[in-house]
Amino acid sequence: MSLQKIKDFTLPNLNLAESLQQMVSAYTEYLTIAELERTKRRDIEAWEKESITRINAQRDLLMSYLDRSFDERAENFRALFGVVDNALISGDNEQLALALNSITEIAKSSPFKEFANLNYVRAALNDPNHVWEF
Amino acid sequence: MIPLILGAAALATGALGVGAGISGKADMDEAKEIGENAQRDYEDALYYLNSQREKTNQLLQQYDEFKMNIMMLTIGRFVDFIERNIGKTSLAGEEFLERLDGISFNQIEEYKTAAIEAEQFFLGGMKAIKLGAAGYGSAMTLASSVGVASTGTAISGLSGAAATNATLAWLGGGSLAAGGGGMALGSIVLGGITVGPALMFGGFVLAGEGEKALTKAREYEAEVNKATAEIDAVSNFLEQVIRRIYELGDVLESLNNPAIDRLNELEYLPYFDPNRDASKFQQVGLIIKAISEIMKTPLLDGEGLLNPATATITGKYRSL
Repeated sequence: MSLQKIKDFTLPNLNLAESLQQMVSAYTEYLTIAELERTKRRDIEAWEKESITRINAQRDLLMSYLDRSFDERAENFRALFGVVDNALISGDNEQLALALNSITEIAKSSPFKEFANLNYVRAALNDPNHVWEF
Repeated sequence: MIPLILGAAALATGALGVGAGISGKADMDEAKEIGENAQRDYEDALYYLNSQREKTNQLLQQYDEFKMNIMMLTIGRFVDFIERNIGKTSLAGEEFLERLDGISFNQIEEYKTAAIEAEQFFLGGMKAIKLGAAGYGSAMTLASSVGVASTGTAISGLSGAAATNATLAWLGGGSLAAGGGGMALGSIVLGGITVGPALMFGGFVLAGEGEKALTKAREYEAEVNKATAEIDAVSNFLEQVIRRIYELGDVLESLNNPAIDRLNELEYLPYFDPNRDASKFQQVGLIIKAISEIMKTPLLDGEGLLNPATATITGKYRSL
């Protein structure tokens, strides 16, 4: 391609004003996009933080409730098996029946049953007067 | 002269555009990395969940076998003892049992069925643990939906390697290469002389796309982080389920031991005297009744979920 040909092609096609206008609009468009995207990312971050905080709070609540429930149950079992041992030694079958009945009832009751009612769990954990029987 | 000025301007604006373009490219690389890291964390959480599920299922199986051992070796022995010493159909035997609180003739029949079924299982006569007739539901395995269900459909779509690659490809600016910037750049370049402004233009487009990619990556990361938190919660919950299995297993063992001791004592007697030994016999009967009641407690419901209340918790997590 000779210089003359390039000149013949470029000069009629060259529009300085249009080029400048395109550059400016590309730049402003970029600025708009950048600002918009930054806002979106801030919103996403807030949403993420809120969601995860809530999930973790629920989880901690349930786990701490279950930990305490299991501890409480274990302590009850321990005490009741003590009664069973004594009753077996002393031959007190009435007391044996009562202790075994309590063991059966506790074992059958699911520690997860209160899960259906998250509010109960929350109330039990938040209530300073709630007695955790150990 | 004009071409020279234009040339200089082209050079300058081109450089500016390239700068913007480089920042756009860096944003896209960062976006890709964000996506990959989030995906890795998610997969780690999923791996732990699956190992917990596996552990839970193994424990459930052990618990079932333990239950059947008790049925065969303790309850079965108790039934044998009754048949040998008290007589299964004699009126005297029935009367003897009825005199003792907490032990009934029907119960003994039920124990017998359970013991026979357990024996059949160990002999290989039954492939699956049924024990339905006696009401001792087996623990069965944990539903595969536990945990997975709580993560929701959005994440299940992310778990496959293909999906990951597609997402990352999309994040990594594939769309730009295929359309957007590439097209814009191509359409602008009419001749060498406009290459400066064109580069600048292209640079800004690329930078804009980089910003968008970064947002998409953060969105993806946030979703995946949320799903990871949910999965962690379910894993923690399974730890509590394991605790429940151990709890029931411990209680059964604590009951089984004195039952065996008492059975030994009864069997070592030169002969069984219904009057003299009634109290000892009643003790075994009471313990075995407690054992059988506890063994009937289902750990999982018919669908392999932990129990109805548990279904609610996964439901709750799902809606979070």
